[in-house]
Amino acid sequence: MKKLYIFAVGGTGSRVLKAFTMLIAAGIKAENGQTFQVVPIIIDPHSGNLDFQQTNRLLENYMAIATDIGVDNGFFGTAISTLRDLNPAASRLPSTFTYGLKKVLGAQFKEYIGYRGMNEANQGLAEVLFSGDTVDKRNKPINLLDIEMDIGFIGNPNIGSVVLNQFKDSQEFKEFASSFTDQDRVFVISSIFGGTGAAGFPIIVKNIRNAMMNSDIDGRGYLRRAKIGALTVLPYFNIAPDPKSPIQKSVFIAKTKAALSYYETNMHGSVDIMYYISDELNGKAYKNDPGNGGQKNDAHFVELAAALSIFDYMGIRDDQFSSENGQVLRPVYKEFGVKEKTADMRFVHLEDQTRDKIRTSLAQLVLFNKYLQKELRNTMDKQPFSIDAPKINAALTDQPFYNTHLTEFLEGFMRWLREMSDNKKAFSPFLPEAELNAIIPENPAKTPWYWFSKFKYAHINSLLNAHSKKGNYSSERQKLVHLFYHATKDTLRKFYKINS
Amino acid sequence: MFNWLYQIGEGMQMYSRDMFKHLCGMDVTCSAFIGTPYATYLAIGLGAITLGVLALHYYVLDSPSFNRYYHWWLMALIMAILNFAVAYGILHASIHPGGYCKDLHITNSGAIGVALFNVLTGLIVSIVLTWIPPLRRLSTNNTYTTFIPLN
Repeated sequence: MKKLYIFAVGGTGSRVLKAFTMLIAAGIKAENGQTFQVVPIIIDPHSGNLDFQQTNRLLENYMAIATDIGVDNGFFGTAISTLRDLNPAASRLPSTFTYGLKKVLGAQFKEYIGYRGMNEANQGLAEVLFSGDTVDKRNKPINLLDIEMDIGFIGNPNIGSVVLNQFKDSQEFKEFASSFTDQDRVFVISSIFGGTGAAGFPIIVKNIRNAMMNSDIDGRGYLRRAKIGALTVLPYFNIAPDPKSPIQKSVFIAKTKAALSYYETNMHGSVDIMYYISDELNGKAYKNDPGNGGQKNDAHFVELAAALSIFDYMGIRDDQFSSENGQVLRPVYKEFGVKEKTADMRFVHLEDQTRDKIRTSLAQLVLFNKYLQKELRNTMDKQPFSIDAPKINAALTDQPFYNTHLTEFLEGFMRWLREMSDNKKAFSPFLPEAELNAIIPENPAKTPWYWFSKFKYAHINSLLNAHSKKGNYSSERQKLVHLFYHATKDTLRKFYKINS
Repeated sequence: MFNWLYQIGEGMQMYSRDMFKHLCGMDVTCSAFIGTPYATYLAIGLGAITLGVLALHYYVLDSPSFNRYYHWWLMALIMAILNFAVAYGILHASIHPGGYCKDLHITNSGAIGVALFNVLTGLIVSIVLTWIPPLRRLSTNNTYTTFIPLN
């Protein structure tokens, strides 16, 4: 299977990757039937960042589920793996989705560049290149050279570009290069207005395109002409003003302009498909916390929309790419738009193509979660779908597959929806806590009048029973996911009148 | 055609030999079995009610909210009432004075006995038919519904 390596750089990279993981879990796939094995690689020095940790855990749960049941069940329908899993016998990497930056834990930037060992002239140059102030983990003002890098680069891409350049010599890059083939693709997710993402994106692309100069790696030719897509997230969230913080909304635009100018000069022709996305900066202000707690932002609709770029990229046919000697001949630039701009967005405000891409799948996963939470225990050992072998009963819910991986994943999914709903701009197409027939406000579920019964779980049970009769399942875990994918799809079509 | 069936009931002493002869169609002149074939009518009624109620439960209603074993017994009760009422109604109408062979000693309790025999037969047929998995498998929501809990 073709592979798609996704480099998610910085906090925004993690959040977009999280959104992408939610979408593939809901069963969304690329157009044109193109399937990829996704290999996510999260690059963020700030390992204490909650976005980073949540995304990592989400991916672990996703992989545990997909590895157990396979990827032909609708939900969790895209294979993902770590770099190690591509070649476990030869790999020297841990089985993780994160790229472990070296020498950043508890280290100051000046130690990283060997400032103390430099002669006076070089020290002077370093002070010029990295002049300015920032804060430490305790929010105390310090010089930029004294920055503690395990809380990230705090909006300083000049620091990030030095530190992240170690990527080209890393074991991760070597194993990425050796597993990369002509069929595979690369996608880089980054923000442009911070430190890590703005610095990481050009470095990753440059090291891939300049692979011929790196004698330590295999597959140099493949990398040089690799198909590369990139998503650059422009400023899209507001942040609370704090005069002591080095993170200021006022500099987002200036930093963006500077980075865009750099991209125009240095990145044109390096990336096949470039996606840009942005939003107004006057929404709900996030807490300004550059310190050890790190920036923990609620999920935002822009991240969901940004994640859709990955599906767009996967859906592009191979013959639509063209490059020569590592230079892209026809770079394409894309943006995202909605039908109607509003503070509280629902499906109706999206362009039809976007709505059709995500509505059914997201609603299916919401319905799946609702049923597991409210009804599954009532139907165990009572409904045929539960009794048919392999049985869906208490023995299943006691397994780690259910009570750890699936439960945690779905909790994360619901939290993600809730955060998007609470954010400004809000995206609130669901009311997960409402009555079953009202969870999709735009499409309340109805039954024909002559049924003399409002829509209830029993109607889903009937569809589950019908699908259970037709199916042949390898395990109760696979059956659970497979059955609910098809039953929820039919439920949405029959009762919520959602066909796409 | 169904005399054999009601011979079983007579053998079980649920009704008299005379009632059995009446069911078999003994005419009012007591000369031959050329009268109304009540056994056939009763058996057809029994079959129609029993199969009808089962079909209603398993294939028409076919509801996930109505597929427990106690729902089976509720339907069996409805079936029993119908079987009793139809059988008793047919026989009761046939045993007015002058309406049957005068040599036969037929009573109302005999008619009740036949009706109870139909109830019993309907119950047994239901148990047998719903015990067979392939018939239940034709249903969507009642594949495990029979007179006892199967799980």
